[in-house]
Amino acid sequence: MNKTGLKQLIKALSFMCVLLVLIVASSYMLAPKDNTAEGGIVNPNANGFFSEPKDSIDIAVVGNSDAYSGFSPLELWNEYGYTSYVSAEGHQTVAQSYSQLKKIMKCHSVKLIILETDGFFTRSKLVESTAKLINASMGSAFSVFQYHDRWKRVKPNELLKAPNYTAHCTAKGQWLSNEVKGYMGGEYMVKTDKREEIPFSTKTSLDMLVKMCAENDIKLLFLELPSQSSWSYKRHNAVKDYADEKGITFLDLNIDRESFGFDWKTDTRDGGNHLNSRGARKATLFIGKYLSENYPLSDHRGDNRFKQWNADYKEYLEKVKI
Amino acid sequence: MEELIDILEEIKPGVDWEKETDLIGNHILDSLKIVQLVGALNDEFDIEITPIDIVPENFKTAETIYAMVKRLEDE
Amino acid sequence: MSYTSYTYLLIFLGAVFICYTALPKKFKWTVLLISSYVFYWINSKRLIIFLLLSTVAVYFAGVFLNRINDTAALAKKGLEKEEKKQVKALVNWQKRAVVALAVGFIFTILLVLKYSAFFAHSLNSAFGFLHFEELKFMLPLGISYYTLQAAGYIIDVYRGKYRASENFGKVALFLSFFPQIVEGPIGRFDLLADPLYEGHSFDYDRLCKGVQLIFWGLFKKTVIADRVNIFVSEVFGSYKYYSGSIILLGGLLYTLQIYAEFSGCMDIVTGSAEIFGVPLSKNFERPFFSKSVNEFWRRWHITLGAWLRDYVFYSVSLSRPFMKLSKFAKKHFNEFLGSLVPASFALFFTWLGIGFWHGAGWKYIAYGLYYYAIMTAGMYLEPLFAKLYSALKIKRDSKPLNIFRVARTVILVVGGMMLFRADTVGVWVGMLKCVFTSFGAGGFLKTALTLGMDKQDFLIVAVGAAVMLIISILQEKGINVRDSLARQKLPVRWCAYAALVMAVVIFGAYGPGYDAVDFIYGQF
Repeated sequence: MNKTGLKQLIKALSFMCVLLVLIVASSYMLAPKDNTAEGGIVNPNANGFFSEPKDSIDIAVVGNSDAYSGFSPLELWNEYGYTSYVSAEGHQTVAQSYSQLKKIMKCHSVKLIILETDGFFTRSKLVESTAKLINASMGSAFSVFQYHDRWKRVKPNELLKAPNYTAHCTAKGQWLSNEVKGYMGGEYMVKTDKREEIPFSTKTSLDMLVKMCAENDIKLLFLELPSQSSWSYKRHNAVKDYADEKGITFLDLNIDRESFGFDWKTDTRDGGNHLNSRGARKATLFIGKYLSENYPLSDHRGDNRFKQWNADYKEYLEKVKI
Repeated sequence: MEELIDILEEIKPGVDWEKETDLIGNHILDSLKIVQLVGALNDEFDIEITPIDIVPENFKTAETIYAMVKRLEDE
Repeated sequence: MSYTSYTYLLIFLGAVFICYTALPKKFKWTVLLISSYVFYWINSKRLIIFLLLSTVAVYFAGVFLNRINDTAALAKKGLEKEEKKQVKALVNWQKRAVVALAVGFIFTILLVLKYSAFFAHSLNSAFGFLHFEELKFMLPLGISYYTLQAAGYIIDVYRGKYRASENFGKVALFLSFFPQIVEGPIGRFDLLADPLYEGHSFDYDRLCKGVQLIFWGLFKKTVIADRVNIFVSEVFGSYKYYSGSIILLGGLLYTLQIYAEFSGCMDIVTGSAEIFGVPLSKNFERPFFSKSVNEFWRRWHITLGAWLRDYVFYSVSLSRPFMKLSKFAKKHFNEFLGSLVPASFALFFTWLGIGFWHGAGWKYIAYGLYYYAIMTAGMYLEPLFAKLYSALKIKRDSKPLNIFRVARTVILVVGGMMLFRADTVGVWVGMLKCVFTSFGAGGFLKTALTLGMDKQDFLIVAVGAAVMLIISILQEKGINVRDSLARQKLPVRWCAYAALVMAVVIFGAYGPGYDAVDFIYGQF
C-alpha cells in the first residue's frame, strides 16, 4: 500500500472511531434507565429479569407467545424451588431469543436455558429474516438503534444517569390468563415420517445459540408447549432431528398429553393456540418433574435470600382463578 | 445568416441573437420555441430537421444553428 | 429490499463494492450486472422474466438496425443522388418497422401489466353490456422506468444518434442497473453505458462522496419524509373530519414528504452509483424555487420530463402531419395563435403521457391535465399579463414580482400534489372546497397535534426542512455545498459528517413504532 493509501485508511478508521464513540455515547444516554413500562423499555415483562437480584435466576426460558403463556416460574418455584424467568416476546425469533439470552447472562449465572421451539418455524423469506437478524443485533449491540426515539421524552438529567432497574414483575414473565376457550377439534398430532424443514435463518441463529451454551457450559433444553394451531408431527420430527444431531434433549408436550392430565377443553385461553394459567400450571409441573429427575438444579426454598419468591407466589395465587 | 436572424427575431423579438452565447442554458429557447424555429427553418431552407438534430449543441448560439442548417442543406 | 434498509446499505451495497473492487478491471462490469439481477430477483422474483423480455427485444432490434444501416451504406456506394434517395426511403421504412415492433412489444407488456385492469374497468362501466375481466397483475419492479429507458435507447438508435450495442451484457446492465431500477433517474444509453461498462479502480474520494450523498438522502427520507407519513395518511384518508386549515397543512406536509422522499431516494441511488464511478443523471434542481409551473417541471423529475420532451413532444411536433397542421394554423390564425395552437396540441399528448405514466386511473390523467391546463392558460394569457405589467409599471425581473411568482408556483404545485395524493378526483375537489369554504383556523393547533405527530415531531421536521432550505438557497446562489464543505478544515468537516450520520441514527423515523414506508415513486 502506498503512502496516500495508508493515510486514507487511517483517516477513514479514525472517523469510524469518532462515529463509534458517538454511537456508544448516545446508546448510553438514550437507553431506558429503568425496566418499567414508564422507563421506556420494550416488553417490560420479558425484561423484568434486569431487576431480579444478581445471579438469582438459574433457568432462562425464551421463545414466543407460547412460552410466556404456557410456562409458570412461580409454580416451578413452589413445587421444586427452582428459580426461572420467562423472557419471551410475541413472535420472538431464535435470533431475538439469542440476543435476549445475552442480556440475561450479563446479570445472572444461568444454569439451564429452555428454548421454546415454536419460534423455529416463524417463516420469513431469507432477505426479511436477514434484515430482522441485523435489526436485532444492531439493536442489542447499540441500544440507540432500538431506543433512538426516546430523545423525545428523555429528561436532560436522565441522560448521564446509570441505569437503575426497579421493575418488579411478580409473575416472572408469565402472562396470566383466567380465560377458558377450549379446543374441541380432533387430534392434530398424527404420526408421520414427514418433516417440515427448519428455515435456514432459524438454523443459522440456532447454531449460534447452541455454540454459546456449550462455550458457557450451560445446559440447553428444547421445549414445545402444547399448541394445537401451530404444532404438528412434521415439525416435531424436524426439531427432533436437529436436537439428536446436536445431542440436545427435546421435550414435546404435545405428545402424550394425558400423562400430565392436559385437557384441551379447559386449558387454553383462545381455542388451542395459547395455554391459560391452568394449562401453564399442568405443563410446568410436568416439566419440573422432568428437570428434577435429570438436572442438578438447586432448591432455593429454604434460602432467606429468596423469600421474595414466596411473597410473589402468594400474589400469583390471588391472581390465578382457575 | 441574415435570413436566420430574421426568423429568430420573428419567433422571439428583442433578443440580441448574435451576441447570446447560450440560448438553451439561459432559457431563451425552450422546447416550444424550438419546435416553432424548426418549422420555420424547414420551410425557409427546404431541409428536414429531425429529433436527432435537436440537441443543445446545435441550438446553443445563432452560429451553431446556422452551421446545422448548412450541414443539412448539403445532405 | 428497500434502499433504506440495513440489508441494502450494509450487506448488499457493501458486498457488491468489495467484489467490484477486488475483481480485475475486465470483469468489474459483470459484478454490476450480476448484482443488479440478484437485486431484481430479490425484489420481484419470477417477474424478472419481463425485464429480460424487454432487454432481449431492444437488444435484437438494435442489432437489426445496425445490419440494416450497414447494408444500406454498402448499397449506397457509387449510386447517384436520386438512387441514394430511393435506398434511403426503403431503409427508413425497414427501420421504422423494426422500431415500431420493438417499442410496441415493450409497451404492450407495460400496458397489459399495468393498465389492463383500468381499461377493462373503464370499458365495463362506460358500456353496461360489456364484461371484460378486470385482471390485476403483479407489477415487475421499476417497469415504468426501464421500459422508458429501453424505448429511448432503441429510438435513439433509429434516429441515428449512436450505433446500437452488439454486447448483450452491456444493454442488460444499462436496463437493470440496481441503483436506478426502482425509481429512476431514467438514464440515456450514451451517457450511462460506458461508465457502467468500463470498470473503475478504487478511489477513496469517490467512495467518501458517495457515502456522504447516501447519508444526505437517508436524512431526507427517514428524518423528514417518514416522520410526516402518519399525519399525511390520516388527513388524506379521512379529510371529511378535518377543517380546511388541517387539510392545507396536510397538503403542505405531503408536498414536503414527496419532495424529501423522492429527491432523498435520488441522493441515495446517485451516491450508490457514484461509489462505482457511475454518474447518474440529475432528477431534481431545487424545483421549489421555480418562477413558473413550466420551470417547475424542468426542475422536478427532470429525466421524465426530458424523456417525454425528446421522445413524445418532439416526435409529435416534428412529424409531417403535425408540421402541416402548424402551417395551416399559421395561415388561418393570427401570428400569436398560429404558433400556440399547434404547441398546445403537442403538449396535450405530453401531459397526457405524464399523467398516465404515473398510474392507471382517472386521477392520474386528471393530474397530468391539471398541469396542462395551467401551462396552456399561462401561454394564452401571456399577452394579457404583459399588458398588465406595463400598465402597472412593474418590471419583469423585479424582486418582489419574482417572489410573488415563486409563491404562486408553490401554491399551484401543492394543489397538484394534493390531487396526486387524494384517493380520487372527487376527494381532491372536496378537500379544496374545504380549504376555501371552512378554513376553521380555531382549534388548529389542538387538532394538528392529535394526528400522529407530536410537538417534537413537528420540531424535527421543521429543523430538517430548514436545513434542506438553507442548503438549497446556497446551491441556488451557485455555491457547490459539497465541494466547499470538502475544502474546510478536518474538524469542521468531520463535525458536519458526524452530525449528519447521528441525525439519521437518532432522529430517523425507523424502528419500533414506525412501519417502514415504501418509496412513493417506486410504485410506478
